[in-house]
Amino acid sequence: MSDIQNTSLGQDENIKARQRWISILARSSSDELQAYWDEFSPSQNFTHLRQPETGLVMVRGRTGGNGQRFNLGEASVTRCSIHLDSGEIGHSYVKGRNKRHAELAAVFDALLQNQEWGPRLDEAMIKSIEARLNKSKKERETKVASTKVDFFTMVRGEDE
Amino acid sequence: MSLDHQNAAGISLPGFTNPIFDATEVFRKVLAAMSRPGEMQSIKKLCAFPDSLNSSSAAILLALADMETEVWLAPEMDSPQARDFLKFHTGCRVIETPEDCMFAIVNTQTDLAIFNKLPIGTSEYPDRSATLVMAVENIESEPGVTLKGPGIKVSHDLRIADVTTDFWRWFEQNTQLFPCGIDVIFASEDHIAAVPRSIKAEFSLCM
Repeated sequence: MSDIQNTSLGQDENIKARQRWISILARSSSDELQAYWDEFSPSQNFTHLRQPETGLVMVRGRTGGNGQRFNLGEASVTRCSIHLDSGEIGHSYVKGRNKRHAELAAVFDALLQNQEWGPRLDEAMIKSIEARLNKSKKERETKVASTKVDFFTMVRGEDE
Repeated sequence: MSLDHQNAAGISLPGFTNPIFDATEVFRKVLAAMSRPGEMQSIKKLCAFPDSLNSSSAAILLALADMETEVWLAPEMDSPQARDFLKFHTGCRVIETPEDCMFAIVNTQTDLAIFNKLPIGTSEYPDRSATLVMAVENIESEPGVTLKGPGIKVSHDLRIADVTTDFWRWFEQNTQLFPCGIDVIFASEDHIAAVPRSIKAEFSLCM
């Protein structure tokens, strides 16, 4: 593990970059990843370090982003770890029970660390998934904002 | 892909191919070994393993260890690769002190003095004792030590390569502690055999 950290994950920037694409892969859809997989059809072979497996995680939140933490509910999460023949190790955690989704996300994580594949995939895949995610987030925000109701009362029971 | 290539770093070793079924199989073998002391149980090579462990001791740990388990690796069995492997696949804690462990992983070279440091449990909780997993070269059902006790109809012969008379002397003392004491699992590449604390092992001095 130490040599991996030294070469590809040693600097903060590399960690940040990887966090970014892992986060995007986690929010991507399975069909989307499958389509990119078919498009690029990487010839790399890989082995499973950890077969895709589904479990539960407790999602916790804070009202309004502060205050006491409370348990929002449990969510199914599938994780997978793979090892590319070229040496990179990919991990993934995705919401839901789709094992293929977790597997593809792990393989893409490993490929994105690869010198040869990384820049290509980042440009062609990660950026476009990110754009789609941002777009749908904006659309949702606009939709929600249009139905926003402001309540005006004389006394709100709070001093701000 | 060859296993040698994967051996580059511990984390790049795969665990069980079918985690649930493989772990169940190993669990059944350990259960059978414990309930029929000295009887050899064949164990398939189910997972890759770090160089410092052998295949069946690695499989036993993958099946039995989890994040609540403290594992102590004897210096002979210890390596960064083994630690990475265990942490990644089981989430267990690899600890530095044999006094607190639940599983002690040793081989025939390990200093016997350390065995006396392992927890033996208490009268109220004899289950809070360590299980000793000893990696060995070979296990045979041939005359060596003669085992007697619960789970054995008359007696059972067991010969384990490179296990010394001193070990069996230690084990005799261990038996005296019953209900406290250490249970031992011998793990060769393809077989396991267990000798729990309830067993009397008779050995001849000419071993």
